[in-house]
Amino acid sequence: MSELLQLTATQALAKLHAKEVSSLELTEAHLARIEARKHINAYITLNPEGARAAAKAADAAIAAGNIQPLTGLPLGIKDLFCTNGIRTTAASKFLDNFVPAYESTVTQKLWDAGAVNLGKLNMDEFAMGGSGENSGYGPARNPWNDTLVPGGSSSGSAAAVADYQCYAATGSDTGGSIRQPAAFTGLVGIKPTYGRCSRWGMVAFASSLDQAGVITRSTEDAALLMEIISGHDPKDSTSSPQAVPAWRESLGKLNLKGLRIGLPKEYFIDGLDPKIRTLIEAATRQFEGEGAIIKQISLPHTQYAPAAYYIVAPAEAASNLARYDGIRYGVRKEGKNLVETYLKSRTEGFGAEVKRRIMIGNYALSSGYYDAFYTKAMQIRTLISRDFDKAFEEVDVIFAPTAPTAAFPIGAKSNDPVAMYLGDVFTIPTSLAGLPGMSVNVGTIEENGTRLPVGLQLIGARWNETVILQVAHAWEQMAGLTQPPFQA
Amino acid sequence: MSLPHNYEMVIGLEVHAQVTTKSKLFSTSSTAFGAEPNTQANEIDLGMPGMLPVLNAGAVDAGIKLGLAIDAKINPSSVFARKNYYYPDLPKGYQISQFDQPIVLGGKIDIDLESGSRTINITRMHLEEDAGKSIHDMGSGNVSYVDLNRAGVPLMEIVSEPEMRTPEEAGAYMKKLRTLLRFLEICDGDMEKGNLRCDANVSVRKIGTNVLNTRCEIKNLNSIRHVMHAIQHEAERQVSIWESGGTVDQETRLWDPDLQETRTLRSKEDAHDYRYFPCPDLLPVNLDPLRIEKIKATMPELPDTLKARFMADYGLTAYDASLLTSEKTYADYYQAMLKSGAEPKMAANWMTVELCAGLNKSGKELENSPITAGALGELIALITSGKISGKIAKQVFAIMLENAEKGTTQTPAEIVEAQGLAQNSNEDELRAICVKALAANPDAVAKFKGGNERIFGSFVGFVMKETKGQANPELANKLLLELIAQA
Amino acid sequence: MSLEPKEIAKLASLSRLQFSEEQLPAFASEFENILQFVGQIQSLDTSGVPPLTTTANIETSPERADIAVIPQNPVARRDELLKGAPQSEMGFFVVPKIVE
Repeated sequence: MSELLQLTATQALAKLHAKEVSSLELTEAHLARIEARKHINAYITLNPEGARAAAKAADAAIAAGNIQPLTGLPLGIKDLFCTNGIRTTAASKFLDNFVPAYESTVTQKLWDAGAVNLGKLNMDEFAMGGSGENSGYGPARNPWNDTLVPGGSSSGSAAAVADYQCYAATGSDTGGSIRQPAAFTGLVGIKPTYGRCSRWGMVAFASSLDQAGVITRSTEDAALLMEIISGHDPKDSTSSPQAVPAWRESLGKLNLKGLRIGLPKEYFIDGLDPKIRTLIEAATRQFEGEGAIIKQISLPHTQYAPAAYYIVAPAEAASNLARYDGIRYGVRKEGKNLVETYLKSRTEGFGAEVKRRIMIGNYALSSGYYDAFYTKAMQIRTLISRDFDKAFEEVDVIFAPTAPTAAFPIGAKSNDPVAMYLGDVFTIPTSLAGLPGMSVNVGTIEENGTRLPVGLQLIGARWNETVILQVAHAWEQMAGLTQPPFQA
Repeated sequence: MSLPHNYEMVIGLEVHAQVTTKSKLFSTSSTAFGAEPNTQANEIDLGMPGMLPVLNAGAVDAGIKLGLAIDAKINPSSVFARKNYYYPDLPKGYQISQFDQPIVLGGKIDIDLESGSRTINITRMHLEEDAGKSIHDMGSGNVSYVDLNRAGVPLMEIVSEPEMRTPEEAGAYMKKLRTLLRFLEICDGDMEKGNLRCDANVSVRKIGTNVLNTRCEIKNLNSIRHVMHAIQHEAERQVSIWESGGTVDQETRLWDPDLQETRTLRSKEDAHDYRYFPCPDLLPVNLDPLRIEKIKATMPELPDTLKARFMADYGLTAYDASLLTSEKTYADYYQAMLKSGAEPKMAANWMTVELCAGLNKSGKELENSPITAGALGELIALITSGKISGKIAKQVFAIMLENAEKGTTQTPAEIVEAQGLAQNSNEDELRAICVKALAANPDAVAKFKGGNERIFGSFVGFVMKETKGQANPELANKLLLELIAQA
Repeated sequence: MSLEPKEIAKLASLSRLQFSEEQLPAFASEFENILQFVGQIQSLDTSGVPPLTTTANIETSPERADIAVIPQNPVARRDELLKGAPQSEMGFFVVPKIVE
């Protein structure tokens, strides 16, 4: 049983489609695993009946020879993606009873490709957070050590994939929400170029930054799933008509000789855990040994990225979350009159971090502060984007740490929002520039007697997910594909 | 209407015109009027989580049309922004509207006044989505009901410069704008349904000064009469404040048509902080110049041009020309009449008098007139060709109306034929009748010869009676005069 | 950067959020820390730099043809969408009385 759970998605699909195992078996195995590992708190809402039905349908399709790329594969879905008929909360108590009557484009593509939905995964409320602690449904725990956070905001996605509670999961990344939890749990996480995946049906946090992506246990799995969920959607005006490359096929076809790798000096700073630095530098040397050219580069406006991000994202969020008024859906708390009903529904429905960001956002947008905050932040966005444009004239891929530290204990930063915000310092610039970014496990470090995984962040030029997937895959070939420990 | 103490008004209007698209500005929901509550509000219109807007090309085209019609600059790159505020009929908590980069910049509209025409400059026109509707006076007393069918319907907000000086000018502006919108077929202009609404910005100042005093905005005026009355009353209110040594406070006011007064809705201190910012779910609308050229090529002839042409080419009076160009349907009907051979002046006359009366009687609009322009034009052509007299034509017209009611169709010529109504121009026949007319009335002949010209009518009357009105009146006149001279 | 209680009250009102008397001091100091953090951007001269509001590099906002899509059964679809409404009646959303 545990061997089946420990397959990668690609391996599981091979077995499924060769009829060595049924989708129902795999689905039942995962449902049992989820039940046994409840304390990880990876899922908010389970979909056992729907999953079993989909698994049976998949088995019938396989028997009939009607095989789609993901037929029969059990997946977990971040609870930010609206699923028709299945409760979608975005981990907010405000949406505790919200059942969409529509399906997000990303999930629809997965079901069309034959995947099975095990359930909806925990996260930071409305994707606001970097630890999973801001969930209205309690924090998800890190399977490597359950006193630690799994990272966030895609906390449940990382926890579930690392704990073998699904083969892979969708995530969303606004300022690092896929890459950082992937790093904290020793997984692969990719956020594509802005516009690559449709945002239709994905509960909005910050519209100009939000991108869907996946968290998986191998780069091959990531490439496979990204091919499915990417592509133009006429229902999302910011979705790109760019053709989706055959990423999975491209793996292994990169010649490392002459590959230009950039190391931005602004990412190797005092705040970076020296043990992480050592691991990244060691990996870089291994690439150098394979013929890659290492270049020191500069992304000079990096230091302004977190501040700019914590203006832009909250500003958009303040507006995006104004719709949660308790009138058309969600949980209403009756007040004496209309205004009180608004106030009570929102005040009681939202967690502290969400309220904080709404307040920051409205501050930055309000008259008198708009130019000094919002406009200025958008100008800095231009500068950061230009930094990357310039860098990619010289290099093919940028190597950086995904996060300045490894996973930290639950509660360690929960009283210090600014310290929490600085945890995103290395993932935010990519998001502001809309570039593809990925985290791949680069080894482990010892922290207070616990072995903890570390992520190497790979950043590509716009629309060049291919190169980061190829480099990540090359790394897995060089270093061997590592997997999170299977906790019995 | 004027103001006491040598004051004049400074009036600017913001008009909201519903664009006649089939679907909403950012969703595919229908915009049809009168549907069951919330049956035309889909998940996008309801502001449900994760829903995204996609711009309706029809609304953009309408904006371009209006811009071209008022000789404005079409903004090559306009931007949709979010206007953030809370209201139960605003599902997303923000309205998507254009803010600092509207689709149309500048422009002008010539308004028609008794004293002639005047140009009013336009500041801008932008596209935005409408809100839903709240019903307060239904069911139990402590709740309101929200219908979001209207939420997301495209609106054009047309902002004028503060260049109007009287309520009459404001009224004329509204009329002209309405005509223009209807001509372009981008808004039905139905103020009763709320498809055309107006906010008026009003201030007053001493005549001869050029200052802009504090203004008040009067919201949601839904008829031209209300616009004019509200402006007059508001201006009078402001004059009395200034005259009693007070100052006018900048505020938003509501017009109460029952009490004939405006009252405060909110003061400047309560003014909303809308926190406008570019909507990140949409991108700038960068217009291809080719698209604008294409639309330009399909633009209808506009009322001002048509009016000038009707006066110059057809010799119509300004009054008739204005009337016939006040609606596109009128102008279209009129021109179709001319195409079937009607003489222009007579056609104008028939349309504005006989047809109008006929339509009134049957309670119909010109759009669904029982008599087609072609048929009416043909009837008029029968008069000018001498086939029938004007008087007989009225009889034929009455038969045409009856036919329409019965659902039978006959051309005017067929009616004339069937009823034997053709004009009698047979000289010999008429001469015989004229001789009879004179012979029957020797006294009158003598009086006529003695200088009583008015008595001539009695000879004509005799001839018409004898011919059942079908005698060619000109010929009869000529023959009578000849015979009297010979007598 | 320090914030007057009045300013926090205004922001809370714009945000349709409430902070109790007890929560307020802690929130205010936290909020000031954040403002100080985001205020770092003030130290950079950005004059002449255009703002970047989106990274979607698409020529123009996509437009769709003006075609209305009418559900097969509009009332049934309406009822489905209204099912989760906290209060509804006769197809309307019901809210506490709106007072102008």
